[in-house]
Amino acid sequence: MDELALRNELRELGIRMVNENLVQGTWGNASLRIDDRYMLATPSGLDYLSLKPEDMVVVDIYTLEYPAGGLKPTSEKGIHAGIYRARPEIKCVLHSHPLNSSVYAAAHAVLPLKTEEHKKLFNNDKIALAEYGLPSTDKLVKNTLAALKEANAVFMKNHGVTCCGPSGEEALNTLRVLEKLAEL
Amino acid sequence: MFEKKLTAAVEKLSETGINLADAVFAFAWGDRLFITKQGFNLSKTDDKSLIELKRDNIGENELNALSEEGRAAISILKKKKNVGAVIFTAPEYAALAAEGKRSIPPILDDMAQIVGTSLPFAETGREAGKINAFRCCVLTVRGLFATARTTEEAVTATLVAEKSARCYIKAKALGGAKRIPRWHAVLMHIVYKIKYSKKNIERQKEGE
Repeated sequence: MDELALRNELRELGIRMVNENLVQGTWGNASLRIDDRYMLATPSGLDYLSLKPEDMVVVDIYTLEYPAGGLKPTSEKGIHAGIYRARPEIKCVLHSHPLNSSVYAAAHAVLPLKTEEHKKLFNNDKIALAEYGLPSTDKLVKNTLAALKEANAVFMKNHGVTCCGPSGEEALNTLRVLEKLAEL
Repeated sequence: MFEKKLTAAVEKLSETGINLADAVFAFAWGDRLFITKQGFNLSKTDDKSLIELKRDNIGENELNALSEEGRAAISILKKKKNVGAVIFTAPEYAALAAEGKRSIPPILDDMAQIVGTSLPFAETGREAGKINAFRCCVLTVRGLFATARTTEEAVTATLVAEKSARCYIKAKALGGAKRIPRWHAVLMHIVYKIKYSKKNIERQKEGE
């Protein structure tokens, strides 16, 4: 897939997250892998509905560098890059603070998965919980990766949730199903 | 002057299910204050929805024409020169949390960043002093006050405060919400205010 198509896909993912109430306002971020070296990430602090394909930022997943003079990528780019570095099969990462998952994040609770279908979807028998780290810090990146391991979703203490998948569609579905499962 | 911002705020809060019965929207612009009339029509907001007041010369009759929350909103705008917008609403979970008459501690990063280091409880809206540099919302038995430099920020603060109240209540089923250390919350709130300060103030100016 060429870069323009990825830019359109990322924009579309953001809009769908907003429309499905999986993200509020400018809070949350998304990325797609371009290749082994680069990812395309949503910019920092902008409304998803107003984003254009050209607003998406190319980020080096090893150095976190991005083109000077343009929009800044999400401040949580370290989480996205860390997952792409550790998991070559992952093509999309979504980070959000949706309503139901945030309850688990605030309660520091793990969500056990009961069905084989869900265990397969999340590649785990539970939604694990990442230790706390201040937003945009290396500690948050390290704690999130340590809890995520080979799974496709993780709660982050007092923060939110990170989901990933082998495609944008699958990562979005993971976030969607997680939010449904987390409803109390 | 603020009718477009009022319309946008009403739309945004309505579509996210915030209860706007008895809602109050108040704005400051220099020495001019604007506030919604009691019982203004939510489905048709225009310049007739707002009353204009002079910050330093508000008559008793003008104040008496406002609800208790309206008077509280004006009081906040008069006292806090850095506040540009006050929104009073009655969100579902904020109302439930207020029944406990206790403050909600910082339990989520976005709460600490946007709402502040806690969501304090006040018996009445008149206790505007509970709003300070580190806390921009107050929970009362009749609803939630959100204050901010701009209308957009006040809308966001309302939504995040309601989300925080929802998490606080629902987390009880999972053993209760765990608080963020106070100094982390203070740090996040300060960083957020600095990071979004200039951009949002410019946006507010552009909208006028």
